Amino acid sequence: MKNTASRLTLGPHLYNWPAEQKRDFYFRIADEAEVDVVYLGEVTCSKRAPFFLPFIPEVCDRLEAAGKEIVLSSLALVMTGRERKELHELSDDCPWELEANDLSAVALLKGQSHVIGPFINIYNEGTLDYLYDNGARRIVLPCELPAESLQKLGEAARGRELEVQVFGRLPLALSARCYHARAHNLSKDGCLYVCEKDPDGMDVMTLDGAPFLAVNGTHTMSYSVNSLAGELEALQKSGMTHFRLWPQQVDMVAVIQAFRQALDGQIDGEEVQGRLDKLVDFAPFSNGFFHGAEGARMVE
Amino acid sequence: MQDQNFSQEYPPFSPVLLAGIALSPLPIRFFAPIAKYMLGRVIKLYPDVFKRLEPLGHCRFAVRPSDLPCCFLLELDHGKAQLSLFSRLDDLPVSDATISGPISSLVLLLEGKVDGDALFFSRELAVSGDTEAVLTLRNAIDSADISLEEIWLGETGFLRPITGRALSGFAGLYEKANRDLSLIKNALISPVTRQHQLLEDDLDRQQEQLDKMEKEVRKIRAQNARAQNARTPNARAVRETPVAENPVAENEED
Amino acid sequence: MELVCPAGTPSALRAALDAGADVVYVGFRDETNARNFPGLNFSPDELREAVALARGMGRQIYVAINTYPQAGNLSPWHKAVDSAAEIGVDAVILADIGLLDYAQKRHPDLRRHLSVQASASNPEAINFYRSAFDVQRVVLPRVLTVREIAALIGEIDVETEVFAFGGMCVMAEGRCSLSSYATGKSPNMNGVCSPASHVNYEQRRGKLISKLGDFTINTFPDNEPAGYPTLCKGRFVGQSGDPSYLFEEPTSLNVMAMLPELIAAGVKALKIEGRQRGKAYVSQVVSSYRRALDAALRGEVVPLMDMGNIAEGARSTPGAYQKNWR
Repeated sequence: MKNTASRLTLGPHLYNWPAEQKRDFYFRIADEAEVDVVYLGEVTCSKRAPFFLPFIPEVCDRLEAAGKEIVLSSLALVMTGRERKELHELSDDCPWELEANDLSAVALLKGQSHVIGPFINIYNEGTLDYLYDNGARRIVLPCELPAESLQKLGEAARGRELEVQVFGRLPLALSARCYHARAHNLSKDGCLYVCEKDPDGMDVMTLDGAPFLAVNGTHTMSYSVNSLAGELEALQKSGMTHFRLWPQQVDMVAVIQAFRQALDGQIDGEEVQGRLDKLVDFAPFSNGFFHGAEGARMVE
Repeated sequence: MQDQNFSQEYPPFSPVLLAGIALSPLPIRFFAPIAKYMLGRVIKLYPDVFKRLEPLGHCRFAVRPSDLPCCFLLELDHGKAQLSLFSRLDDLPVSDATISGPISSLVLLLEGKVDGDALFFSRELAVSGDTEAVLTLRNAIDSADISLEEIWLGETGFLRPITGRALSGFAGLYEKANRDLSLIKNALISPVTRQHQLLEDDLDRQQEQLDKMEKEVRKIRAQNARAQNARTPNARAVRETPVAENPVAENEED
Repeated sequence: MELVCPAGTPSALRAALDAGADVVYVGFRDETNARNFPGLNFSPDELREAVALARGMGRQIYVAINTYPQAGNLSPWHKAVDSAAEIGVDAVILADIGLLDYAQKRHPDLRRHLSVQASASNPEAINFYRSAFDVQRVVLPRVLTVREIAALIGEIDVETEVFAFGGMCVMAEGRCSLSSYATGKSPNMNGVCSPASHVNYEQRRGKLISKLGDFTINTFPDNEPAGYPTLCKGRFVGQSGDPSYLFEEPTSLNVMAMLPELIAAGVKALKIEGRQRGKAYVSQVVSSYRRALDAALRGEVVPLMDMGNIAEGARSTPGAYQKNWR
């Protein structure tokens, strides 16, 4: 049974890949991946943005030609004058819909149709309603919400679009400070773009060698790869309409295919997880947040 | 489970330590009624403290003054409290948490004259077991203006001026004794300290070498892991060296 | 410039007022505030007494209701706002959009401040909260330099409050799930970060090992000052293979040396962090800052006081206020 209500989305690429590689990544998504919505744009660090900017028009053309919905994602932490100026330019004149990841973008997009990104704090129905009324067409929920909250928010959305993160390393924290630069004894201004060395983030281990987190510039990610493959059905039932996969340096077309088939009811969660286990080799999986446990945990 | 953490602890060389040793022949039952009296006074004078402790339910704290030859067990049961004294660590029943430090610090903490976090940061205070319970106890005690003098004096209001003076006189004496003793301590241990320093330096050098070797091993492991990753499907094909040119001005104005 | 000081207990409140606080901020004893620690905080009756005491001395009380209400269970947060209004506190400090909306509709006369947990770091965001919910003041996230703060003040018509001393978030406040990743409990949902319920200290071969949940956060040789295992202030191993403080050292924020610049920038209030600390901390920090602020306001040289004994890891930093921190 095909569930037409469930849409699969590809979240914005959060890491610093060489621009040409990123372009080729999106070309392949356009040509081969059964994903409904593609978010793109620089969310993590405004210094990285100029590299990929020239490629955005051709990437978007190709994605649009392939029938994908395009959303441009805004920066998650807006501080400097230049970042604000860029945000104003984007919100004044952008051919695609925007995803707001900072309250500044929510303010600028008031009254226009937009998407609220996962970096905006939405924990309850009061805030959810307020933001829909403000012009949000779709709302992406924060990663740490447990199943009970998702359920309540799903009810409160009353059919309006709600998106949940179901695959990829989770962006857990934002900072003014760049931890990639700091780890390499560099200043943020003179960072030499060292974050480019780690296409899935820099692994952070505890003193006794246990894997813990991953640093991605100013963002701190989970070490484990979030997978709600086993929870898809429950999420569909609780009113989630969109399912976000975060790009990682794995065969994303295959990841997308697995989730697509699961949402369409062709394969079950176990089968999806089995495929993911083979596709993702750099870190273990977790689903703890959904179960109200430690986010790092995998609850069977 | 609680005690092994403290077995290696050394008491501070303080007047309390000597006084404690001097008093140790006295049987513990001599002190038990005093402890009981004081807890009774605390309960009477500061009832709000125990209201804040209610959420702990049933909980036992071992309090171990590191410079006294005795220890306490504070047992809480939904806001009701009991205090018992033990002369030997081995006699102490199993507790949920242990707090340990010089008695002078513990008293200052009780009176809220010192910040518990600060004592802990400076390593004067050690805790083990249920950290949350210890925090609850600390917060509850800190919520009232507890005064040892107030507890001690009880109903003997008319004696207050005299006792007050006696207490402050004692505090002065204590300070002086403390200073004298640290002088003696330094004189006694200086030869050992010197020897110890030499050994420490030796150990540091060895540790440094070990660290270097460990780092090498980690590097090799990481290289292996990376080599393995490179072989996976949808390969990290076009990884290039970082872009040398920089489209954003590096010394951006803030 | 207002000196806004923390109190986790009635006793700390008295200490703060005695030491010269203009305002004391407190929280209710439940999950509605971001210092939801056991044994801490105020019952409605204690708050009523606190307001009476402060008022008698010509001072003010703010109440932090700065966690994010739980979906399907809004009533504890609504009740907290209602009680604060009924008791007549001078302001409530809120972070959640839904709760700001509720407070404005139900209690339009109750003064609203925007909590640091809302992480409003630019004029667009701050002006949004101003126009949507009529917030009178914003507590700025600890991500801006003094120059950025000065520029920001020129573009908003809301008072600003900045952190001056105490524990320091190195992440954008209110936008961090590191604690719940390791423990299942987060500042936004539960009002705790790296909660004591998940902390374990182990003493092993001359070293103190601090753990948070399953993760080792740090080890301290016996002669080294220790820190609480807040997970962003732990020692970890990154790219280089060497253990280091990858995010931040165990250290306290201290901007005493920058008071003249903050005054010149037009900051309205200075905030001391530490509702979870003892009254001895409150007395020492508040009285030091009172003296320093009074001197700075008179245009005198600010006497620099040693706060080493009370600071985490016995160290302090001006943090993000100086650009090189980034």
